Amino acid sequence: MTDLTPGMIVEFGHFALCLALIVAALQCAVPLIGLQRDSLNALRFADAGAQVQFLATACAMAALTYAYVVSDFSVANVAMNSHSGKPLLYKVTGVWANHEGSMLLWVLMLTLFGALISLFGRSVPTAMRATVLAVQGGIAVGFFAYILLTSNPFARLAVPPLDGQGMNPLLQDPGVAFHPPMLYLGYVGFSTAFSFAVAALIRGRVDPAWARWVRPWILVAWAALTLGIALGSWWAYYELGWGGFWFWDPVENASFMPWLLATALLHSAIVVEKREALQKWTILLAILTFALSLIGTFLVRSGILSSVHSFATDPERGVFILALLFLQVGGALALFAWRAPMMRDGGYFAPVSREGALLLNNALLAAATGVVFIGTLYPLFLELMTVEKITVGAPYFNQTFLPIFAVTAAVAAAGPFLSWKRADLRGLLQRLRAAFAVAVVAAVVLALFGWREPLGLAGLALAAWLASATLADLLARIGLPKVKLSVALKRLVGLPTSAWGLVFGHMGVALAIAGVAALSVWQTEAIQVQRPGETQQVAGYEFSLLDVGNGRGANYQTSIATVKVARDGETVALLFPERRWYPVERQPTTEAGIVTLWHGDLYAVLGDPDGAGGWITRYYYNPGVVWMWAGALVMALGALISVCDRRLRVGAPRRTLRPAATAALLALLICVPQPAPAIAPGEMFDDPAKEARAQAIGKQLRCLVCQNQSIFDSNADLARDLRMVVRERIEAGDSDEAVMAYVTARYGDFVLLRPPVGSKTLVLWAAPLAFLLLAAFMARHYSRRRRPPEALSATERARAKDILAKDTLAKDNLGGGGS
Amino acid sequence: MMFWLVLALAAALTALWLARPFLLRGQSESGEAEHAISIYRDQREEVGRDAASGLISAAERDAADQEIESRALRAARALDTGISVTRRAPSLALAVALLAAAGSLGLYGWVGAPTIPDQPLAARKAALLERRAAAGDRESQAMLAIERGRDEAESFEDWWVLARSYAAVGDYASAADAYRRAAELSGDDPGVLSAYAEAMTLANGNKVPLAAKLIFSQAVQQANDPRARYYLALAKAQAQDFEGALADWLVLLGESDAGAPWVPLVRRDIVNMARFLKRDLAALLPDASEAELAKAAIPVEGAADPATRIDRLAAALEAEPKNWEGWIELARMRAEQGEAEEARAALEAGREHYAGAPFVLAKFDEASQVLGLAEQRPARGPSDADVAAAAEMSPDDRDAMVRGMVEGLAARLEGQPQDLEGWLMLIRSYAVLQDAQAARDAVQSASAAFAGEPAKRDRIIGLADSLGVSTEQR
Repeated sequence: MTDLTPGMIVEFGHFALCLALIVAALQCAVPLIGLQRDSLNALRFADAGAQVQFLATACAMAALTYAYVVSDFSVANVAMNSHSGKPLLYKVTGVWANHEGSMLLWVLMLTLFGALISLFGRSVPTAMRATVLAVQGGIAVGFFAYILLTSNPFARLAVPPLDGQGMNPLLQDPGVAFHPPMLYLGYVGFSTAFSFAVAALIRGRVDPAWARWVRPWILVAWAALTLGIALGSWWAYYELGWGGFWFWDPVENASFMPWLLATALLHSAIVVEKREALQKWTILLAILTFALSLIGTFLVRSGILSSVHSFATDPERGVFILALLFLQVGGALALFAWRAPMMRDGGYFAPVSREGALLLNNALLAAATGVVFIGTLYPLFLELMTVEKITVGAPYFNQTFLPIFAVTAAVAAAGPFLSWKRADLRGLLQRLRAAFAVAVVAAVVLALFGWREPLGLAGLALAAWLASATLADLLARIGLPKVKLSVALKRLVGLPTSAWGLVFGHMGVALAIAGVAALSVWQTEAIQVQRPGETQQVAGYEFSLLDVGNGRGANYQTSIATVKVARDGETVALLFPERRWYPVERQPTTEAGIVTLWHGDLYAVLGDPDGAGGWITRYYYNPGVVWMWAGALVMALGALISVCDRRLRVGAPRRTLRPAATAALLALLICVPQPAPAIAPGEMFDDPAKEARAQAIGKQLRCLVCQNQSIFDSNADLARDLRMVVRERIEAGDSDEAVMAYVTARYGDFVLLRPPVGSKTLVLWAAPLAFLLLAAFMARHYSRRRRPPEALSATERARAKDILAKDTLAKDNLGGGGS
Repeated sequence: MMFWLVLALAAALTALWLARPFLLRGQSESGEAEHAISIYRDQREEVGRDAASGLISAAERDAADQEIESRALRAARALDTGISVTRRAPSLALAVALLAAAGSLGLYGWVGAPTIPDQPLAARKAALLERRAAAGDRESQAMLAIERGRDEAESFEDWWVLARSYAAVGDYASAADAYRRAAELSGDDPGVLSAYAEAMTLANGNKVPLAAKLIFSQAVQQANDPRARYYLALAKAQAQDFEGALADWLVLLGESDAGAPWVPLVRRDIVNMARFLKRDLAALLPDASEAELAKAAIPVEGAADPATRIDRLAAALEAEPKNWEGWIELARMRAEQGEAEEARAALEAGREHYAGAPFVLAKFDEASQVLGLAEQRPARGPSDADVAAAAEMSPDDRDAMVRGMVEGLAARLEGQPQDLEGWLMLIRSYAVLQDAQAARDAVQSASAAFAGEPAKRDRIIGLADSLGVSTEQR
């Protein structure tokens, strides 16, 4: 194209976007007509449509990227979000660091999944595949129309400006650059599960074969979302520089909710595949998971719901997207309500059985999702209805979400030991004894070494319990210690890949739990004013500030400190925390100095100078950080291993990822929080006891202009003012309660990260109980509705054996995918 | 035209690809049942393997087998077991191809902008600058110089000149960048460093950023650089340490030659600070001029007797006559002293300086009414005679008269900002006067005044664009 039409690349991309919309509409309509008229041609059209649609969207994306690379400011989107002085890498990532571009990335992912289904979904019968692609087309039509009508990235400016408006330097980081595509791959990946579910509803059948067709897509999307969330958290930890990794803010929760529900979906699909039970529940989960992904992408991330005001200033986009969500999710749910009663459901199983454990896992994960959902959306709802503002922060989620999640993880350890249909409870307990012993010993040993916080010990014991149970299950599978080692090794090699998927998945969860527990309970922090040469003790390490020098980078000015960390007189590491200043964007950023050890991170942050030769420094010892990231990686790896299982293309996996999820892994921060450490020199108390009190109180108060960060985690002016209020009250001799009362009286309940129990928050605090009750009800409902095992007559069995014996599947017609 | 041909070609290729499934004949596929049954077959094999390795008992195996067999039976019963075959359907192929091609071209025709080519910055910048520079835009001329100098800049001198050009056109961020290169090449010369930090400060809206503060400190330590000292004091003021800032400025002034270029700036800030802190300027600055004393005088404080205050104000107005409120104040004070004639003279003198500014003239009229000095004098806008006289004036005089009118307009808009036509005229006037900074400011104030009315704001920005006034806040 470039050669044929020099200078019209942008408009060609614009045309490609129009083409994609039209093709999406055809891809939605034609296969459905084909289904009705029984026309194989029309069904096969879906494949061609999906491929063309992806190519067209990729052209559009490429054209927009080109416009960013050459700084074509006649494209309004480029003028608003790029700058000619930006490094090339960030010009490219700038493409999706804005509303229009991220929408385009979103549909690109959507069409990518469509094209992948058309290419690699050949083991799925054409009629089913065509129906799935028709649903994908339907989703795409809505979003292409949304892009073209309200958020067109190709809108042009008649008079282009001389330079663009730049990009937030905080976003100039590889973590942000690659985190949205990964996250979107996950979010959008669940559109496949949604399309398979809707296709099943349209066609009126959900059977084990369906579950096997859909599972690889769920696994891919789940792995991508896991990595996306971990990348976001990693970015927050390394770039933002306050040693935090998860703040329970709406943006983070938005990515966490679909993850939780998808984890449930992953497991319920196994039950459908193995036992032909829980079909309706699985369909519902698939629809809701995608619905939460949509809510995550469009309502929360775009800021449309984060405040009533932003909705009012841009009603066109908001109303359009709400209508779209309502149409797609509402339509799917209506279809579910109509068709579900006609479908078979519920193969027989006893409460104590593999199915029973998976059902419990599903119920608990659903309840956990519900809690996060209420905690995230209730404040918005309350503000919309009553104009009153409350805050739901970490303390709320710690008290409601973590217990549910801990039980889920504990159950995950037991699941693999249970056999299908009916299991022996006594045998189970016997086999879990070893794991229990390991957990207790781990806790006792840690306590002896001085790690005595009960919550942290509980977390680490839980991790040990899950890990050792997973290991014990693996040993049992290969026959150890009953058989000879050589036999066991042979069996180990012969294990189906899905078994490895389970081991990796659960091990990853155990690792992540250990990391999160250690980090949240034993993170040690010291904030002080230091002069070069002075030393500060943190968790047994001596941090010495050697010097602070000035330097220059590519497009910034920097102050860089050298910090020596020693333990028992021996130098462990040198850290180089920086404070950077970008003149173009007029913003300072913090580059933390970090050294990663196997047990934790040494983390140093440089703050403002006090004007008398001293600098504010923040030192942390963050135990378990590496375990957390490694856990997420291992989890995602487990899912990818499962996808590779040969049987997902034909046969039945016996066991797979069963999970637990993590209290933690949890993290992602797309929003742009305040950079740099809070707290100015000179504001701190000399008396360490008073300072500790001030910080303890401050951690429960939110910065009013940030997203769920405490006033001690933010350097916004308002946070500083609030800190000063707290310090003044403490200085005046108030008790902790009096200080809190003083602050709430002036700033309202909105400042409290943990909402008080009251008439307005009753829903909030009652919700976790309600969700647990609902989960219990659901579990009971399902485990009671047993279809008696079907007894086949001898003739029927003979006929079935006959059907199963013949390998009549005409492989040559199936393209590459078949078996 | 070429572009439309390419689009048509792309649409045609797409249409062909989409039509292909309808053109193939005789391709066959086995029915859904076969796909499902192959999976159940695999499941049964796995049950067999599990039984063989002793993971499940024989009874469990039989139950599992039965379950799988019943699934296979159901699949065979419910699903299509036959073989489907594709049939050629040319009319459908044509319909799909036409829909795709016509639909996409039509949609693009509706939403697209086929007349606007790509405008990569590199190609566009030179052309645009040359056009504007040729039209007489001084900023563009400077930028063109920058454009030419930037790629060749190697030596310290090149970067230094480039940095100063950037600063001259108000692009302090780029100036800071160029100063940084110059500072590197100069081996961190304190004077260059402080120029660098100054550009950073200006880029930051004249608020001294921390990084700049560090550099200024370095420059002061190395060479006692006056500019660095000035900004360090400013930083103190910005950190609410007003006394410290004032003291530092006074020391700086004391140690500077009277003719040093920074002296007026320092004196101005000292005067302002003295007024702010309510300090006696005469004690701080023994050589303070009358105008400075008048400026630093605290109006509410009746310290000085009226006569001195009047004298000071008169002197101040002598030095800086573009202060219509000052003239009215002078008239008021004189009227209070009973000097009606002098009061009237003050208003008259003011009128002279605002001959072309109807709004200000109206204010003078108002004041003379209130003070009882009124002598009917209808003056709203230049009369025909004025315009005729203007035609006779020398270019300089005419320029002065136009400036007076523009200033009056600006003053009026400050009080009544909801006047779209007024703003448009003001922006156009500044553009004519080639006062780029003022034009930019006007565009910004106007945009702010109509922040809630996108249609009006667009008109303002449209005008600014057509005049070549760069507007950053869009």
